[in-house]
Amino acid sequence: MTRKGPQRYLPRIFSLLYRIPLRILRSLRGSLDIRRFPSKKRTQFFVNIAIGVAIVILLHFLQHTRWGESTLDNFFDLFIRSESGKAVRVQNDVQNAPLLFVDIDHETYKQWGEPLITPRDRLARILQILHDGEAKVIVLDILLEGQDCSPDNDRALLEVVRRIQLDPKRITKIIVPQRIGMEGDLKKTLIDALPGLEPDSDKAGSQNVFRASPTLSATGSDNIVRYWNLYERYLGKDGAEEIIWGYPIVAVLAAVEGDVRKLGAFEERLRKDEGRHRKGHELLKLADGKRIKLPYDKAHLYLQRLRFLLVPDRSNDASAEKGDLMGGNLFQTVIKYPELEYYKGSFKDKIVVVGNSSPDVGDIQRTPVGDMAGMYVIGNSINTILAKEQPSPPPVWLSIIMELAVIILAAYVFLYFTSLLAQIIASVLILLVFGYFSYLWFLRTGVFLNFVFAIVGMGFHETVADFEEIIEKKGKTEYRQDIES
Amino acid sequence: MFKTKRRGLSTDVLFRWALLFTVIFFNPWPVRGDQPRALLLGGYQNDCMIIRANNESTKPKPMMVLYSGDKVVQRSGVDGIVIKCSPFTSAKKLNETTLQISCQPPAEKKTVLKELQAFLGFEKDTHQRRTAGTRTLKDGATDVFVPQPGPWATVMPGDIVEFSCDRKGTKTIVFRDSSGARVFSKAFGEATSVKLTPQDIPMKPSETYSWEIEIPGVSRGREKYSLRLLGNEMAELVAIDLKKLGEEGLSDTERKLRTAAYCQFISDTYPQEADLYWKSYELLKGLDKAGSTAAENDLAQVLRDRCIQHIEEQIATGYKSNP
Repeated sequence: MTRKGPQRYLPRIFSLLYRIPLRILRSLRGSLDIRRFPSKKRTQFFVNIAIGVAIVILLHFLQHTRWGESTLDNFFDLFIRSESGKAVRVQNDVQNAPLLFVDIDHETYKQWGEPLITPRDRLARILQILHDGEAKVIVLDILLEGQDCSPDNDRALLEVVRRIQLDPKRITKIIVPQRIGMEGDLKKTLIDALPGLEPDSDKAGSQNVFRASPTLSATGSDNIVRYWNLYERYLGKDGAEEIIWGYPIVAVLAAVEGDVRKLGAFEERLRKDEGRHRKGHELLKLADGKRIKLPYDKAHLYLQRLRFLLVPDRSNDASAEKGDLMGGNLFQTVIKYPELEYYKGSFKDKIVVVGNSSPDVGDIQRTPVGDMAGMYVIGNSINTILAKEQPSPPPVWLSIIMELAVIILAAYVFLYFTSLLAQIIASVLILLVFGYFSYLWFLRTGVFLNFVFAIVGMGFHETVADFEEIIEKKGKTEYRQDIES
Repeated sequence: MFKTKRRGLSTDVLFRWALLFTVIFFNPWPVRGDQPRALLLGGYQNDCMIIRANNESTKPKPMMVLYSGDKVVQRSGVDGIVIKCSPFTSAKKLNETTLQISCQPPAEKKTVLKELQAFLGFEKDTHQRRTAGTRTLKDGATDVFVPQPGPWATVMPGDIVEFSCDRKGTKTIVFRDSSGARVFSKAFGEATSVKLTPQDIPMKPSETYSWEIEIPGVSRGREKYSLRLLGNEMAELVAIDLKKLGEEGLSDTERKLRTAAYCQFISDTYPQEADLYWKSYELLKGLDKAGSTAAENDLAQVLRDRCIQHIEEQIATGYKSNP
């Protein structure tokens, strides 16, 4: 059977794809075998290797400086943006998505008369509908500090929270935001008044209501939110440091385990101050087989990094920049207040994030994929550990292999080309080969194969090579002067 | 270095498998296809049908996804049908009985070159606008609190009371008596406040009235506040005291301060009968700060803080509905 049309070229193209690099490698075979090198060239090769190793060691020390983090962020952001760009091409399906959003959007905010405090009676209605619809976890991204203009509205909200708290079926869990004040104490919230929900009394979440810290973490130099927070420390009643967990971990545990008891041992270690200087992470295995990596270090550059796979619509956003991800992928899973009734049957077993997205409310965050309301960043943080793999560094053995490969590649390239040309060739090769492979690996596993410092190292290589040339020239000049004299 | 054959496994074969593995395992290319463009939320009748772009027809069901080109046909009219559209999508009304889903996304702007440009930083930098203000019940400079004259207040015959609300929209103030009957209403448009006297309403002594500000599209039925005209005896007592203060030959600032302090004193002494903190606040608002001494300004600030604290306590404890 003969193929017609462009299909007939496919085997030939496929064949070329692997034959070309193979032939290149074969033709280079003679030039790459160091045993055949003259002794001076062989020495230069090993000098290059030594320089490469020195640079890698130096860069490892610089990784946690502002320069190091900023360099890593540039590459990570590129991956995160590309991944989001890929994600927005497929709409999230309301039936299958684990996360839904109830959004008090700008239109609704205007219709409500732009209130200073989100009206608590409306909030009570939202919670009641979600509870009736058997939502698994309600993540409330609206602060419950201060009082509503009408005490009746506060009472209405408290009644619904109380109903959820005392529901014997324990179907719906609710997470309420708990901020920490400047003095390290817990800010007072509306639910403090409910029996059994006094601060410090509901840590295990045995009563269906959890407090969690609604904080995110932004890079200091550019103020872009890139990380979720695993925990915060606060001062308890007796002045001792206590731990309050962040939204995403509480939401995932409440959804999968029903409570946060599994964090007890880790919390104990953190509280005893053991975690403050500890490196690495602990693995938390959930009932559904999912493993979450809990870093000791609050500022872990990898494990708490956000992946932005849930992108809200920005087509009507005047502040959206050219090239931003405009359409998003959430039109089915974002429920506006007037649409709540229609979605009644869709909340069962879902995690539902409730929040305000109006820019006038002031909760708009800068992210690597553009501006986004805080409620969607929280949604993405939950999604990062619930549905996708947490970004993580490669295992040490893999890092060493990768770095060795890059060092050897650089040593060869700098052997055959002038320093500038060598830098260009090596950087392009690393970007194309390692970069692309690293991106694919990241999409698949969440592991970021750090090739960033290899590329940066090329610049250092060039500097060292320049020094080498200067020293070499100086040596020659002195030799010539000796002869002349 | 690169042997062509080793135990029957050629490098060619190895390469071929590696390439195939990469393509299958990673699949870096996104799924492209016909994406759902709208969601049928509800509002349809029994005679409604969905006609797909390929002319296949199906019965509608709640939360049914619709694609570009799909038609929603309902012989009894399509006006009540609620469809939620994705960005760049609309449900066009072809005629009285047919709606068609139409999607016109803008051309893809994000190219590899643009991504590279952004990565290398060869883009025009943008400046972020940041609001350097707070969002709170009270403002340091103006002490605006919501609503005025407070959740519960008492007034005297002839008092000009300013009722204010910070919400946007066309507003109407409505007063109801203790039986719930509407006794007075006045529209004041987009303004944030309206001034009324007890005679305008008209109020009867010792009867508690509720008032609320209605805004079209904003149904906040529970947000009602109480207002009462002081009983004759108490009104007489307050009027005599205020008259005495006026006759003492004090400067304007001193007279206002003393009157404001008196209003707070009488409210604290007879909390069940009088609440004139609003009046105290009005007097303090009218003070000429520049023409006052430092001590007078300090005293005014103390009294102003007490007003705010009073309103906050009223809100926190649940204001008295029947003082």
